[in-house]
Amino acid sequence: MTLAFPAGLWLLTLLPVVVAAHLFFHEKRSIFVASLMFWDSGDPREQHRFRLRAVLSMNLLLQVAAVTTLAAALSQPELAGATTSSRDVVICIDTSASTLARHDDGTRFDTIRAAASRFAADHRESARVVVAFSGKPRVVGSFAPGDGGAEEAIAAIAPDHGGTDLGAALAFAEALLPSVDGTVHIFTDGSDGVDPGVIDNDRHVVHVVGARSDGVTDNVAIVAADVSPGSGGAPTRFFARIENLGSAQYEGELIVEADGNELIRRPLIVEAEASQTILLEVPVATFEGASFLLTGEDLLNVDNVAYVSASRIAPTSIVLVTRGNPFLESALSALPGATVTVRTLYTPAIDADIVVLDRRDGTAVPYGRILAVDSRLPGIHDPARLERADGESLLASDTHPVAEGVETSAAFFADLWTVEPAPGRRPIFTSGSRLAAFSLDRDDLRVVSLNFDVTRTNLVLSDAFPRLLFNAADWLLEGIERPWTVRTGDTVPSSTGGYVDTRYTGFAPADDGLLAVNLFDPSESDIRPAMAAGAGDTIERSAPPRCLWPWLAATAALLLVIDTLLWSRSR
Amino acid sequence: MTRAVEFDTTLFDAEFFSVVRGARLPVRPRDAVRAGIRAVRRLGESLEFAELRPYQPGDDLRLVDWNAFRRLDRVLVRRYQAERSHDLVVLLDTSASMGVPAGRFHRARRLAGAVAVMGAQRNDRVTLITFDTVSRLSVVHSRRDTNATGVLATLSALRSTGQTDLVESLVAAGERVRRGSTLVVLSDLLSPTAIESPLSRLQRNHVRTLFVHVWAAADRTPDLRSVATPIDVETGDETAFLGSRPQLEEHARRFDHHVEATAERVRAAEGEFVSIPLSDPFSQNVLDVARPAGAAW
Repeated sequence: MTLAFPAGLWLLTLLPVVVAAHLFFHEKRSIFVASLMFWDSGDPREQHRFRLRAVLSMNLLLQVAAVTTLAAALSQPELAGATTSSRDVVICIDTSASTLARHDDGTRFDTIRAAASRFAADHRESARVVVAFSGKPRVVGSFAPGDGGAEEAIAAIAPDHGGTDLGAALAFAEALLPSVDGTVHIFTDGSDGVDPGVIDNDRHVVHVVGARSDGVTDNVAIVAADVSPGSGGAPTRFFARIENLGSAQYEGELIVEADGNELIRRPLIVEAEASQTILLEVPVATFEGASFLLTGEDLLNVDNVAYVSASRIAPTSIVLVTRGNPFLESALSALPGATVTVRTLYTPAIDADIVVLDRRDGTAVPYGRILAVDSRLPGIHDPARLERADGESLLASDTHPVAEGVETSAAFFADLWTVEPAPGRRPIFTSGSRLAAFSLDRDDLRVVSLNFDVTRTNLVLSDAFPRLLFNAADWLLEGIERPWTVRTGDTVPSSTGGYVDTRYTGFAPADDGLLAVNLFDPSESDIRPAMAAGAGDTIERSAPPRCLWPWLAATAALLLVIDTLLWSRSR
Repeated sequence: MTRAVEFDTTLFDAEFFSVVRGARLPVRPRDAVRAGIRAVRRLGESLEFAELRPYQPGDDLRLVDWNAFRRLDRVLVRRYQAERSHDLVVLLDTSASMGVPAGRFHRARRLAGAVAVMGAQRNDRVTLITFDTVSRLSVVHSRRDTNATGVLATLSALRSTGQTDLVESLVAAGERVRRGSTLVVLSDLLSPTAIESPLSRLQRNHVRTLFVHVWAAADRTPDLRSVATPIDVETGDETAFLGSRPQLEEHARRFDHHVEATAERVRAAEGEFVSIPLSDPFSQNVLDVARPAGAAW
């Protein structure tokens, strides 16, 4: 319990005043009796008790209690809210033909269904979406927290004769998750030979639970991993949480590597159906990434490897010069760390990491990192219009406008688009014999040109489009020194000593003034440093603290009412 | 000229007279001349003729019946029946303690009035004496007033003040009470009751005594609902009394012992002791006083 306004306890200094006033104004109550012949007042202890009770009347006790309760109410005590760790869960159940293989106790699918049902029941506090997949995934049902219908829905799923496509299931499941604060659990017999890389994504935690012919569903997984590079000589911290989902004790080794060099190798024992959190501190020089590896025997080892980047996402300032293109604007805004500024006219004064020119037909063309869209516009091909007037023709002879009416599809682009840095123009992809997109890297100029009209293709409706933009931006930004910045939720080391009293709702004083926060939003005004949480980690959510002062104030009022009633009755 | 005598009609209301008329005092058989009249026959002292007897030396010549001498030629002397009514003395405690609780003095005055009216209706000579520290002769009932309105008027005007001294009051009353009288004492008995000596004197004087103890439940078990300082209404003394259960039990035990001891002393002097709790109705109180167990006064 915490006190939001500890100064309220100063009200307790009124207690001596109340007692003194009571003693000063205390009226000795007396009653006239016919005679004292039979009254026994000889016992000194009894007389002492009599005098004590005459002074310590019920009224005084009630008044003291009321003042104390009032002081407690004024100090606004709060009970810390219960910490919950729930997140959205997508349960993918493999219904492929291979799950029909039988073992002693039934089919593989029986095992999968039982494990999924048990899992769904164990995660009732989370919102769950059940997905059945073999070739094409489909949503079986969506269930709110506390809804017990997920188990029934799982029980109704039957295997079909399709193949197994874990990648499609994972993409489908991730599209269902509204944020990174979610997990995907794939219940499969794990026999499709899918590329493990598809599981090693950077958005959501993916658990794959195997169901093999022997009916064993045991699996050990690295469910969370993170690295906190040390600074100022401090050691680097490696964090990993290993979860044993099976019924047998897991014995193996945990290996931690930094940039391919083994740093740590330690034995690891995880009890059945238990998890273990490991925090290691090792002084390490600069490195880019660390990998965690479990070496013990595991029926499903695809999730025994985790890779963590030691670098943070740097901010990217993007200026979109357009007369209005919601597809492009929304796709650019979804880029990690991107800050998109929309302008209708480009001027050389604009400072941006990337300038995106959408159907630009105007004046100067920036000289730097350019993403040009719909290059039927002449400007980008006219060297005279470049800001850098070196007279060199950059693109004039290399343009290959896309023919109008070109048809594209998400599947077509998804596997095709990658950006490779090159000193000159490089085709990104073609449509027929024509160059649909290309890149150019010459001196300080880097260009990615999309030579088709994004408003006249269904490409922008698929996830291939933001992926293309992400790869393009990643390539365009290569070599640019960008300052570090902070995203919401990042842990920020404070050089000024940090804030104080940030556990209270309201204004939080900092060294250089006050920070204004939304007083009506407990979560927003809670400006405590957030725990560093990697993508997919379970994020602990604290319920808002329970305010006790209304109850205390009501109790104080009740005490005063009782005091008044007693006083009036004694008159 | 008749002086108008008025009494408090709220104290002595219709119910009072209804109850009193239904409860007549008993008659002492040996003193009764005829039913309903109590008279002591003494010859030669009253005006009612009784008989003639022969003259004896020393007889008052004024008593010689000269008509009988002329007719019978014998000297006869008239003898008269000495008719004197019975004395009923009501000794009422008017100390301040009788005013606590509030209804005690009211009830005691009504009881005293009931005794007076019943005595008057029996042709008794009723005397009301009040006492606190000292006794005071308040009123003597006129035999012509069968409703004892003078006594009732006096009772109406009484207030409960002063302290109680029962012993001294009995001594003083004993000097006023004539031989053969009946003394009715109405008191809360909340004072020392070492009354053996005055009772013995009354007994020797053939005075019949009836002690009427008017008591309230609070006399036995004080009603203390909250912490307060008990103050003696007569003396102003204070005490520390918490009202714990052992204290209350000891209080009740002492009260019982005091009352029982007083009753024993009264009975030892051939007197009667009547307990009148205020919780009983007034009609029951009157019946208890009019016919105390095993005695007729």
